[in-house]
Amino acid sequence: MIDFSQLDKTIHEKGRLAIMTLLAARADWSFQDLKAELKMSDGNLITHLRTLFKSGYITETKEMLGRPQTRYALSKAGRAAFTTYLNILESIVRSARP
Amino acid sequence: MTDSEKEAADHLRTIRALMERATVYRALSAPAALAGGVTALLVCGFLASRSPGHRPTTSEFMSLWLAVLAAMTAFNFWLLRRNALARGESFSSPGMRMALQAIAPPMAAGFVLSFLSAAYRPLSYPEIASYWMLFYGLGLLAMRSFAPRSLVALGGGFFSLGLIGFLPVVRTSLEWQPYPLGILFMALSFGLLHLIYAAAVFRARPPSGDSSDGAA
Repeated sequence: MIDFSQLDKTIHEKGRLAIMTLLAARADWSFQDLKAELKMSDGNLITHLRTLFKSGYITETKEMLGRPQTRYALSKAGRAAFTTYLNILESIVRSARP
Repeated sequence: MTDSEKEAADHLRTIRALMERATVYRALSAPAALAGGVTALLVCGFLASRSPGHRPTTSEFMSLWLAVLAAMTAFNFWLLRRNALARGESFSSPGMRMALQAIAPPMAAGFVLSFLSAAYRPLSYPEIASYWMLFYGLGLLAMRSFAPRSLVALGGGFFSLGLIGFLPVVRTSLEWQPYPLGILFMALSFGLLHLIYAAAVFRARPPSGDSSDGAA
């Protein structure tokens, strides 16, 4: 029997899950690219990124490329948490199959 | 299925779709490849029909094909932009930028080397075509970390034909004059390979008519 409470609530929220997925797919993303890909408002995206950062799941790097830019990447803990989350989701779906 | 199980399946679908969007970018659309292949074959047919009575200089040969390249690139960009807008995405996406960064250096190298060949080596039609095949193939292969399999296969085809084009044994065994051989190389690569690629992508496309081609 799957214990649904095992699912990481920080990642389980749809917006943050989308951010974690994109960060897992590519080495790093700029704020602007994340915003364009996810079609989120600045405020919404910042809030989610802050939550993930506070949880230690992502790292942020500020750089100057003509104008200031912040790039985000998964931290080691974030990648591990995302993998665990995926495994639990897969177990849930597998257990539901007849 | 319980609500939680449905939610888990829904989340997995979201993850899969996002992963695919973030990691797979098709820089050459199938209709553009089809148009490019047909145009290349038509140009080759036109050049062959006028040969041997009329043979352009290597510079004219190069200029003609660069004009075809410019037209086909513009058409490809138009299609990519149209598809991106239809999906509600930006044309200048991270995928597009990565594709341009990957293909630009090999294309620049191919252009410079073929230009030097056209300028300093008489009757270098096969070399010019081979440089283009080789470096275009390298450009497509440089996208392999995020391109769909069919595009990587297309790159492999161009790369292989480009290398074969430089082999002296191919030229001596075919016993063709340089100009018709250059036309043959262009027809086989930019004509035929593009048509095979377009056919493969159209075949792999889901029946729903979804414009995204997935990883195929």
